[in-house]
Amino acid sequence: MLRRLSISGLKGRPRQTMILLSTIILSFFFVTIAMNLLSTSQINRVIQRREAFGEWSNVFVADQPDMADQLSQYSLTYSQNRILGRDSRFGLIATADESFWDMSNITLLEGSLPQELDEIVLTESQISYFPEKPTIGQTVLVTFAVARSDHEAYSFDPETVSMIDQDLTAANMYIAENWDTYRDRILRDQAQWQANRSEMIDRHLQQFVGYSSTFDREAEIERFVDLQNGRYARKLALFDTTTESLDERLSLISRFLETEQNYLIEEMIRDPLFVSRFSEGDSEEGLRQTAQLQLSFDNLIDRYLQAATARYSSELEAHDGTIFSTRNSYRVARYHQLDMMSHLYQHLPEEVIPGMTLEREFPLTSELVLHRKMTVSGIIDNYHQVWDGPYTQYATGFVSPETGRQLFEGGVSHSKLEANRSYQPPVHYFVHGTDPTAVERLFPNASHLFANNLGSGQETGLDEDVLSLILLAVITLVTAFSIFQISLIQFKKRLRKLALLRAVGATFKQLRHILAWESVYLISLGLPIGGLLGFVISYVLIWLNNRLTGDQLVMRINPDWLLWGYGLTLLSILIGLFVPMLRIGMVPLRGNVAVVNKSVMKSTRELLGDLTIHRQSLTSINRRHRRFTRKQQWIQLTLMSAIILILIGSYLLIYLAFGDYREKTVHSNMPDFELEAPFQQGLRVSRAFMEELESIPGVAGTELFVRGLKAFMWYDGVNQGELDRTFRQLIPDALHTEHYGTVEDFHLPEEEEYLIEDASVIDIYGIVADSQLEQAMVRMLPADFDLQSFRTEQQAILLMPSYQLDRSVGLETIDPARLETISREERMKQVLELSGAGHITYDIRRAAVMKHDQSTEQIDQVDLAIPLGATAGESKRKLNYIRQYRIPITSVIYHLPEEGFWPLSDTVQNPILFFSQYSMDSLYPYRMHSVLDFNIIYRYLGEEPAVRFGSSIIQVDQSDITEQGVTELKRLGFKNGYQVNSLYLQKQQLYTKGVRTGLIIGLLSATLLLIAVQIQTGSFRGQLEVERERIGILQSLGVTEKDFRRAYLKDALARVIEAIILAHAIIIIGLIVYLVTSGQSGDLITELRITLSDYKWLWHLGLILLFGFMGTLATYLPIGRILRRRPVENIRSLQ
Amino acid sequence: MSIITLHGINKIYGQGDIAVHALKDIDLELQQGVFYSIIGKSGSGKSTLLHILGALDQPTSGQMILEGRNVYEATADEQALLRRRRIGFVFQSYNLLPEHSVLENILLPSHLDGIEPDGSHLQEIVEVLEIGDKLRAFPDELSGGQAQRVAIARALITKPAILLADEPTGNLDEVAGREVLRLLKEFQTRLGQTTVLVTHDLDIARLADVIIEIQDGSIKSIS
Repeated sequence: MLRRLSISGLKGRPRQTMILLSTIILSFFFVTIAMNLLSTSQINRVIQRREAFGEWSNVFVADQPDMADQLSQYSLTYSQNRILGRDSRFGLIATADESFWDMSNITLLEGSLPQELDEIVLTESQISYFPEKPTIGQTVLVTFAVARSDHEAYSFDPETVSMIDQDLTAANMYIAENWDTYRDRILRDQAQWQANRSEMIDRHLQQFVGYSSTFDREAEIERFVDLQNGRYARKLALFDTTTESLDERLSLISRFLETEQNYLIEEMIRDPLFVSRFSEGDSEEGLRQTAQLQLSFDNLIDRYLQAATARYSSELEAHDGTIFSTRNSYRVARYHQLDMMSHLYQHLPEEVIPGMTLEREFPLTSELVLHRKMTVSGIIDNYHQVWDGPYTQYATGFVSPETGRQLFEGGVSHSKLEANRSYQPPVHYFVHGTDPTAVERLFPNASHLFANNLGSGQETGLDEDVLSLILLAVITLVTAFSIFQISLIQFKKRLRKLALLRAVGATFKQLRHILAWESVYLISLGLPIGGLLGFVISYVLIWLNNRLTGDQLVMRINPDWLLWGYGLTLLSILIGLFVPMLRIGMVPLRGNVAVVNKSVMKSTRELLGDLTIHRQSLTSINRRHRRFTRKQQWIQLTLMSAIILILIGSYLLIYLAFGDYREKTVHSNMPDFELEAPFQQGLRVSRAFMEELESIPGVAGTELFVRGLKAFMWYDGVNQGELDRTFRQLIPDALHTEHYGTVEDFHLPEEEEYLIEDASVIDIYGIVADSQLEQAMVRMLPADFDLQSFRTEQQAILLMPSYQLDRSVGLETIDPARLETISREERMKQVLELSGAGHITYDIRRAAVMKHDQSTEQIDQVDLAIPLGATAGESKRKLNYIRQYRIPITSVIYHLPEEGFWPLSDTVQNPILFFSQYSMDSLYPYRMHSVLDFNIIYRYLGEEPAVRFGSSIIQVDQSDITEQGVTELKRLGFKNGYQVNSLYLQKQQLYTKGVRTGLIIGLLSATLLLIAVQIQTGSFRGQLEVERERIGILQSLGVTEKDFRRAYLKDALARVIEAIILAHAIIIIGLIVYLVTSGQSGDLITELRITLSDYKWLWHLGLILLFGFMGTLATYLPIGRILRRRPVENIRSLQ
Repeated sequence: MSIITLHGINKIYGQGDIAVHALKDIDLELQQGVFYSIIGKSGSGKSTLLHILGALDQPTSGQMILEGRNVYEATADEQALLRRRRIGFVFQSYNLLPEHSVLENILLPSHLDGIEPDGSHLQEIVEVLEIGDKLRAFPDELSGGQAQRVAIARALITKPAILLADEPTGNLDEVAGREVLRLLKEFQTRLGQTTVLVTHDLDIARLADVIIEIQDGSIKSIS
């Protein structure tokens, strides 16, 4: 009976039933979507991660023979990858068994996995290391080195260092005692080496530049021996031959080497072979500088070290197709580790010198070099790019286990050398098990144990997940609230009917049962309909996401998540439905009587005062009505505000979701590819290269930037600036040396050491004539800026960083541990932010909120010190030369002229000196690649261009470039000595992130919007019922429809405007809170301007107008329907 | 002199099989200054007739001439003006605006017409209806009888040509009911407006000058 009553009750009020049912349907609809998106996002990510990062849970390096047994005992699936060695083109090569392929899910792009003996696959990333893309089936000679020990491990061991010192002394004694024969050996070996080198250079030059050879090996040896004998005679003249002290003698030798450079330089610049390597004509001074550099102290050492390395390779051995040799011993390492500059030690005898503490076979830099012909069987996806472990550990070339066995068991194990025979390559164990902690428990002390965090998905904080969970929370809360509101309104409307039921004898319990059955019916209908719709729309949304972002998401359903979602929604629906039911005890026997708000009534009476009252109009009557029903009015206003807030707020949030994309790609004009060469290439050569790049189909354009080496800038009062002073106080002492450099790194007279010690570290950029950067500079600088002088004379524009310091923060040195993860380029910015001491920027948009160092305004000239080599901290090598210049400063600027100069967009640390291309050429000498590296000569196909210190950066933008185009671009880049960074993937990722987040925000907003509209409509209808009665009475009193319409239109407009104002107030407060917590300065207006600089205000206005129009109509139209009725139809008591 | 003339008034609710013929070919002429009562059983159509007389409802067919003007050929706004200026209506459930004081409710029709009421007329109404001490009160604070007096005052404030009262005593006890009727009669005498009272109580109807009996939507008798 009660069930029938509840069904007839639901049928009897179809509109109310539909409102409630549709809200329930919507709740299940949205929760289904939210859970499906969440699980799709999660499961897809897990799948994608596993596809990309493998299914293994841990990997560790081990050499225990019983490891496999132990793993088997724990029922762990595992694969064994023997790490074979590193090839210059294939990278690290390892064996891979079936289990590895299964667990790693590596995608095979071409060909097949290595199954047969001597088959090898490489990752796509390695293609660029080949002059031409290797073809499947191509036979290549793989030469890879196996580092059998890590000398770095010993270099800081005091005991080892002291042993090496002792050995050094013994070696010195030996040399002194056997000087005559030792010298002959040096000369002989050097002559052979020189002849080899000259012969090879000659061969390459003949091959690639058509150099006409006159090379005669014997004559070359003879010439060299004569030369060296001559030099030795001169050397002897320098020596005090009576000096018995070995140390003194060695000291004289080293001085001799330095003075010898001058002689060699003069000889070199007269050498046609040397001069022929310059593609552009240069002054004698330029050649002299280059020769000087090439023959610099470091380069001499390098050369001798290389020679020593080659010399001490063991003889080649060949066993069953594997050719191998052992490279060198500890001696080279000793020179290197102890910074010994002399080449004398290369010629120590094989046998242990008496007095040495070290065993001969003491392994410092021992390498086993294997050579074997292999066949490229396939190309696989870039596995190493997705690896989150140490990048040096993971293979980029794979061979079958059989090939591995052939190399070692078949080859190296038959070596004549005991060290080789006993060598066992390290093994990577990839382990997969249901218990992720099993491996850690099994090997608690495994030092090289890495968990597959990427593959097992332990990362957190992904936007989509968080937003999906927020969506669930919001849906459940809003569901509960909206259903509560709707059912409460309906409950009030039904009071009369419920009272009637009470009047005919129904108990409260029976009334509750009726309502409970109604809930059961509504949920029974709502859940399947909403769920079904939710599934359909989930598919559509995922399809849409895939269309928009290029993702390959496949819809995944997680039953657990779905059950949780439905459970929570059900709970919120029940709360919404049952809470009003608690009021069932209030149901009177007659219908409820509306009571006028007593407090408002009282205040109105006080306002009325005496009997004289103001003339009433429909407007004043309505105003009074709103005053008496202000709670309902507030609910309406709140709901309307919520709707516009959701509309504008979601638009703003979607805008903010693309913040990273805008900041990192749009504003910085991030190119699709960045090609960077570790040298400054001549403008003519660069342009030719850019033309070559532009000829690749899909390349839309290129732009050139040139960057000098990091340098030092000094001017009077350089350390007076508060920014530099602050930074110096914040960084730990250990970083001072690394960041600023020390005089020990440079050969500088003591009186000039201030040029390094007291200077600012700066970056140097060249401005190419007629480039966009030059044009922007001209636009920015005052009209009296003389571009012609800037282009042709050695002068610079100084860009000092702008900053914002917070003086209330105490300047305490930052914990070095916190700086470990900060890159050098970001250091100053990060240190300031970490300490809370301030911000630093070159962002043109932030220029207005940042201060600048007043003391730099009047800088007319600076002293510039340019090290011609790596700066301290980036290399352990000593630096020999400093070039010093006094540079006139034509302008001091504090922000970049315009946004969008990508290489500069990341420069957030040092002041920048901008020079013209011409000045850059005069600042930096030509350099040769390393010390006539044959690989580089080969790479340049005989056209080795004269290049200068610094770097050339070429931006490449693409439009629909093909995969082949990308490969060609990489190949060309590699061929010309450029490193190619594919930034379009990064851009795509940032965009995809924006789209995904935007979709979720859109979904969340749609949810909230629909529910808010639902509640608003429901509660407005409730109010209209009251309003209808009032309208009827006023109609009976003679108010015309025209008056009504005018008054209600004004009301509707007023409400809409109030809602818009309220929503904007909330948004502004939210933005202020956001900017205060995340902004870079206290200047909110500018921060707002910066944050909203790309905001599409027209869209914003459009949304407001849309809302205004729809909101007014939604409020006004129902009133119109009432007004069209006769008074008798509106006054309920007359019906 | 005739103030209202009804010609062939029909009122049908609904359509087809479920159509209810509430008024059937009503022809009626109401004279100025006469107190009419309309009686009939529940559902006979008496209230419908009163609503049509008050231009609160639209007849399905027929004409109503009020002071020489065909009311139902006028626009909705013209009808509203007629209600405001020429017709006073007293409802069974008073229909006062709850958020307005008694005085504001009374003055409402005048104010809506943009005029100040005649002070002496207001004074007279208030005195006769004995609501002078309740003028600042709100409808919620009034008894049924008091509320109905306010409703009468509101109906009379514009000195309408015709006062229509739909069972004005229906929600009142006997004493209050009789008092309201007395007042209606008194005002009809004082102001001389045509008054039409709908009731199902013959005793009350007898207070009128003319009794119109309605049965099944038709005028059964006029006495």
